[in-house]
Amino acid sequence: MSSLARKVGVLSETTATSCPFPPARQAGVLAAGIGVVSSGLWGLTIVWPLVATTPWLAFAIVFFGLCLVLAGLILSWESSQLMSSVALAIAGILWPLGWIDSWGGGPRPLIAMYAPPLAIILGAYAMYRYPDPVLLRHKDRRWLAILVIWVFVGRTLVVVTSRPSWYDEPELSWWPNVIEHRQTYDTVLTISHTGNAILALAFLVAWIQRTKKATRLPGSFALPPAAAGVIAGVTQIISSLISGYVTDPLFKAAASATHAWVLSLVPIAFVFSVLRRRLTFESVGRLIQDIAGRPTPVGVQECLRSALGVPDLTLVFFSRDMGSYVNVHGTRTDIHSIRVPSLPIRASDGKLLATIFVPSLGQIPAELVASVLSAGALAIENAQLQAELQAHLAEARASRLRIVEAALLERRRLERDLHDGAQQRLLALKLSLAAIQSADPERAKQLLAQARADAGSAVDELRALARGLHPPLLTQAGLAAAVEANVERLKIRSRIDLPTTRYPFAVEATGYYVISEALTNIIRHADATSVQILGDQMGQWLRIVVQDDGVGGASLQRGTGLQGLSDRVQALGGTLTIESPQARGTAIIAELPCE
Amino acid sequence: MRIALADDSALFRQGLELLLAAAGIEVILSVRSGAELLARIVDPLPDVVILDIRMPPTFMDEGLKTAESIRESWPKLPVLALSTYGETTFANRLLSPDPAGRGYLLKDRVDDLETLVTALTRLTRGEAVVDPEIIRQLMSRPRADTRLESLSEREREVLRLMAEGRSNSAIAADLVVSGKTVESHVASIFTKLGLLSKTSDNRRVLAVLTWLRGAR
Repeated sequence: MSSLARKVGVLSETTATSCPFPPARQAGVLAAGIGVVSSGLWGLTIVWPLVATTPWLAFAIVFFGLCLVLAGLILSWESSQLMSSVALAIAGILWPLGWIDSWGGGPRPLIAMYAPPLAIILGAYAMYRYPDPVLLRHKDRRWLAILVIWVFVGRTLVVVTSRPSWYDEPELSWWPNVIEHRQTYDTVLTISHTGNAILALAFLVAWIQRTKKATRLPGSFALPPAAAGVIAGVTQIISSLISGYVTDPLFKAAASATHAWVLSLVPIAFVFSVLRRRLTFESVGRLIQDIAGRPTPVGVQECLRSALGVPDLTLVFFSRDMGSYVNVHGTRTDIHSIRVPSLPIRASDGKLLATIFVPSLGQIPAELVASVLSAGALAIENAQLQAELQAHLAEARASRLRIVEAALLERRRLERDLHDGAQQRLLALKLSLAAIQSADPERAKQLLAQARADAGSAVDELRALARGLHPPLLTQAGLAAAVEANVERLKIRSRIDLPTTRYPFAVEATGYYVISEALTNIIRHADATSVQILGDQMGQWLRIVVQDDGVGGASLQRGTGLQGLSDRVQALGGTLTIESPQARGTAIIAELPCE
Repeated sequence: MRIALADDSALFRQGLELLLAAAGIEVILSVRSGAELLARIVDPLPDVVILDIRMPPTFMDEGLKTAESIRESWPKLPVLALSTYGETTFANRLLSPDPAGRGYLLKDRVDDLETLVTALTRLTRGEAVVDPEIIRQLMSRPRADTRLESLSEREREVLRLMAEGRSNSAIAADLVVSGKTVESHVASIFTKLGLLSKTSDNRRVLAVLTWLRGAR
């Protein structure tokens, strides 16, 4: 896991910290149910007096509190978010306390004064820690402390400079007013509210920056909370500004209700995001487990199929060695014919590893695809190597088969040549001789001449055939002499510069074969006026170049002749290259190991 | 005797015509493929058709296919197939299902004018002809089945001649024994090899050939 985590990089933080969901799902659901119901009852109890006067406000308050508790409970599924979860639950419990003053005086107005800002701060804290608490740095903590201090100092200053009645609270309330001075109070209130608005704005900016950082990979998980956060933040600013200057109680109540409804968006977005993340990471976690047990190309394809839930996914690897695509069975594949949405998979260094083809790619959440591909990156890279190896083996096998077939074909051709040529001539000769036995002397003389001619032809044909099998000069005098003798018979201008060194038999024979076949091709297809046959020994390699000035356009893929050449050269451990630009001649370059 | 000849080697055709002429046998049709032969053969039919087995266009078994077509069109027309190689599978195919008037000879046998003329004559009489060389190869083949070794020297000779397509009387003449002796040899051979007796001279060629090919 550790090496995989390192490889997977960004995602590892999130998978490592947030993967384990408590297995006791039923107990969790039960706890969530109890939590939601009791927090609903709690909220309803506190705002009960409002239900009669402004029910829409009461419900908005209870609803937001409920949402906070629910978000907290659901967030508790992610162990790394435990603090956020607790913060949200406390915020949900605190929030309705902001309206506990509807029950009357005593300590209640004072509680109502402090509870909502505390709830908002706790909510902000939870938002800030999501989705990645690791990113909550020292600087951020200090900033949160400033926020807390500002809000509470501001509130306290407002309280100590005012009377409860200025807040429409009963005079009998607990109210530790020290100086009760309207002008000071107004100033403090304005500063406090403006400061709140500025802090809310600062929070928003910091939050957006942080979210950007956190959303490098499983991107859109943070997007819904971020959007809700922006909306809520703006509402908070407006609300802060309004509450300082508006006195109409009904308008104030409407503003509070709107505020609560809008704020509810944030926990709802949280719940949405957490559920999505959970779904994704469940399949990613499964993928990592599965892939470890099936590290083959086919296995990796199967794992990707089940992780993404698409049985018709096709994984095609890219082989840079071969310059082509290779399927999971190690067979060369032409991907241009596949008309299906595709996604390239790249290694950490950016080189193309593979491509997946999924007909329903557009319907799969992008972050799921990204997470799955990230989690599977190492396995895909290994599988790519395996598939490439398989493809190489298959090529080698095919090449060997082609050599065997070519040899068999050659033997068949030989048999045909012998059967149709020399053998028939010798049979005819036998028939002539038989006829001579029963012929009169004059006729016999004629037939004997015929028989001699037949015998001569048979000898000629056998000689030609034998030379085609293996030129005797090659053994007797080496490559240079044999090639010269061969070229002499051709009607083409030529320059031959081959080493006169003697090489091992296989090297000379292969070299001769390459040159002869190249010459045959030139005569048949190239429409050339001259040819150069050059040889050069460089260390342990004999490099032979056959260059013509013909039409060009030859390639290994076109025509089996050159493929056969390449196979023969490869069988010896050498390489065959063809340079054949259109209309600019063809160079066939064979490099043979010669020691 | 009048002959139709199909062989893709003009040289060979020429030689064969020459030789047959020396024996007073006339070649009335000389073509280079089986298809050409079938297209040009007309009444009055030749006494025997001589076919090369390997001919254009595929150089595989055109001769045998031509022989099969001849069997369909003119069941009684004798066919002598010539082959460079003695392949018993080809012999079996040529002789099936009715070996009467079917012959299979190696090509290098044909400069032996006497053998050739004998074979042609036997074919016109409705006998089957199988090259002795092929039979010799078949009989000397190493085999796990020891039944062939249980035959006496004489019985082996009779078996060989049967496989070549000889009739009982021909075998008797060849071995200078009586017809009755040959008959008892044949009965003994059939018992020892586990073959069904009571087959005609021609049919038994196939039975013997099949046995020789199959029992290894």
